[in-house]
Amino acid sequence: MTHVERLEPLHCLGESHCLRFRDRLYRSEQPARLLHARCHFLPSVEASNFTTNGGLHQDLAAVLLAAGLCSERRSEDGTFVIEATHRASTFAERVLAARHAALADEPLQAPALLLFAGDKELHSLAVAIGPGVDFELPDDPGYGRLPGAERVPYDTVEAAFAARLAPFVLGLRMLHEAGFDRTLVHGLLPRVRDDARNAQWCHGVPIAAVVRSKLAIVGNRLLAAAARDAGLGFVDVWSDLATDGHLDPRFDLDGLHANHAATEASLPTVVQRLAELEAGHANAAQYELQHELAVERSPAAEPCAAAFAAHGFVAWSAAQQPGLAGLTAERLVAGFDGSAVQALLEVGWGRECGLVGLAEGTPGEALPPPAGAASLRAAVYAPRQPLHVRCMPGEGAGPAASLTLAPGSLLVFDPARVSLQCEPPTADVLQMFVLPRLPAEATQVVRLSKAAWPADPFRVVGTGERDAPRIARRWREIAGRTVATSS
Amino acid sequence: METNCPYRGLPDRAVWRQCVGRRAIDTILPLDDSIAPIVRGTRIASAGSCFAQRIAEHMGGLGVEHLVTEPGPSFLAAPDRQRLGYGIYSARYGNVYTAEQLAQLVERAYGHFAPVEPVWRKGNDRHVDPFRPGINHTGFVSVEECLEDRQRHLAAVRAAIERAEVFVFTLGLTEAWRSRDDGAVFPVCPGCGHGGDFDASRHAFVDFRVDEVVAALDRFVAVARHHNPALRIVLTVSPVPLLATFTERHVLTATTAAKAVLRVACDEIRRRHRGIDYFPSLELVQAGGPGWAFADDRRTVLPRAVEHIMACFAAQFGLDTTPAPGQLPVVAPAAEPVTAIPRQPVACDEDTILAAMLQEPCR
Repeated sequence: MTHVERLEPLHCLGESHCLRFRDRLYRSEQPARLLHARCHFLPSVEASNFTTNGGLHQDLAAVLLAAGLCSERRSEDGTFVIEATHRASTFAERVLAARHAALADEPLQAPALLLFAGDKELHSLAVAIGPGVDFELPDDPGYGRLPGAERVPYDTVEAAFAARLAPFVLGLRMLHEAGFDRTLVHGLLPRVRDDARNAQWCHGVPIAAVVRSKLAIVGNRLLAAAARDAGLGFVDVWSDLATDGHLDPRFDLDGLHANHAATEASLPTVVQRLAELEAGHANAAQYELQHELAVERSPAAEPCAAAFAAHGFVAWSAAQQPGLAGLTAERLVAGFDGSAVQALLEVGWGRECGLVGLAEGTPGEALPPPAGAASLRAAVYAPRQPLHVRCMPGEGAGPAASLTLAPGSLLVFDPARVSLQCEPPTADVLQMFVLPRLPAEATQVVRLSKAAWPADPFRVVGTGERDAPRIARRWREIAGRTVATSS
Repeated sequence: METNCPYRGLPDRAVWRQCVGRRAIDTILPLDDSIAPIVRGTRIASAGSCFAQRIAEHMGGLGVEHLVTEPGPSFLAAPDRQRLGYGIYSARYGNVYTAEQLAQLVERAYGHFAPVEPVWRKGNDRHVDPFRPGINHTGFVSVEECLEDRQRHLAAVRAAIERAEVFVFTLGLTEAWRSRDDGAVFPVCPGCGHGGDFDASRHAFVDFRVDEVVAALDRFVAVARHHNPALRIVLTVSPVPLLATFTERHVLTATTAAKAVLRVACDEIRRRHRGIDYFPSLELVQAGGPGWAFADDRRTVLPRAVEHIMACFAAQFGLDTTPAPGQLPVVAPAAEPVTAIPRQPVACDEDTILAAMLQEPCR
């Protein structure tokens, strides 16, 4: 037997456009990923009924349950609710989910979802508007006016489309609140130029390609805004599939749907959007869970000293800083000057500051509790492989030193006095879970190069910086099914 | 007392103590016996200030037809149509606060007046019609789209004038902003939240006097009756106080003056023309007092006051208040809290102006 590679599932849900992804395997080079598309065609689910009676469409909820992407439980008010597995509402379930992720050697995160919706609404609106009617598109890329057509105001078209998409927009917020924060919305495809070829999809009504295409652009602008507002991603494939504003004939399957060539052409965009969406979010649930675990293990009455003893921190510069001797333990790799350590001890378990680095994809069970660093100025966690770090104290603060951090050890340092650099420098990315040190600061996850530790992680401004996802779930049962509602 | 005193034998309606004093508010019915009834099914067009929306939305429950000649695209759902200014009044003209605005509206519709004011810009890339800037919040995509929609709108105004059997106009304000070039009146001041740029060399404030309001109503009557000689007109004065005044008076004083001017103008125009009736919305609210009629802001008319006004409207014109299936009842169920604000928010351009005032001074 040969272990080949681990597949990363990409769950494609919704309208028939998702079918071209069914059981396909895609390898992307940059970033390197091996995606396995799992298709969940939901013929009864449309954007206009994506949420009903305050909850997700029952078919969608059923698919999420059947695919093992969420769990079901009875809520306090007696109704059944579902919630994303990695964001289970009970501590025990989250620990279990974390262990399962660790056993599978996977990060604890939401499944990657790619949603397809809005196309049926586009057609119903096109038919409702009727042939011979046109509108002016803001920032028209070149469609112009339909000769001889009656023109209706753009705001009416936009409002009509928005009303049809409203249940889907609400559903996006529900999904995000339920923890499905790796969700992408696939944009509406470019329309074919051939009106007769498309008419079958508009109940035989010949809607001009110019109008259909402009409607698709309106829909995509609405969908993109909805995804952005919900904290999710949007995949616009027009640059991949459109020629002169219409679906490239090479990608036309049947006058509406795109073929597999289109999927191949647009997949890099999907992967890119997924990577952008994940920036700052991957494994955040694991960090949060580890923080909870640390609090469980170390009561507040036993502040930093207990945390140091429990987790084996030692001072890197103990020789230069005798005051640290008392803190030395077996796996000492941490360093501070005396005043900083004193301040550290005085701070105790307050929400002063904490920073923990973790290589992407590292199983959670190898993590030290970030709460152990909750009162530290800064800390870097060595991932599963040894991490070679060059410590460069500031001017007059002693010589530089090189350290090798064993897996599982934690380097604590004062970024105001010491800067770090990987040896050799590497572009690999670490993601760091940064706990708030001030009430106004948000918990956040930042992604950083190993070669560039931030002096102050709360001042990091870089691509990928995000607030950690905030979860708020409300679920209820409707007609015997469990659905999600917004908070 | 002398037996020939002319006050002897006055009907109850003429004596305050008999029909107003110490009476329960909902029994005060200032009916005018000289006003002819409106038969069921009559087509009624509507226009006016914010309060006119309250009257228009209750018409369905009175057994009359609220004539809407610009209902909006059929592909829009009713709530979206209303949000975009369709169906609130008979045409999509938004709030018509002054008599001069109403007169110019019909004059523009029939080609008697072509203002020079250009389409206003809103934000970086949108445009609004300066004569109805509040009809939607996003504005038009282009000047061309705005002007094209204006032509469609003015055709709907003509249709409303010509098809209506009764035209109900609620006079709201005497203060307005107008063009120095040709006197074109705007519903809002340019540059105060609805788009456009205020230019002191081109825009001027005006506080219409009684004779000016009467003259404007005269022009409206002339144009409307030219195209619809049988058109019956019902005037009423909005009881809603001014949100702000641009005069040097206190806003309370300015409100009193404005309502007085409008009220006098109504009487004067009624004397001049046949087929013009006055309905006392303002008086009903004043009789009830601010504690009964207004919310805590002393400006928002409470549902119970609106409902009483509409019940009086029905009584005055002999209309049936029994709602047809699916129609809004004239009197809301008793369970509704009497201090609640109106169920449907009224689109009021003044609110936008206030918001603009709070953000930055009008330019």
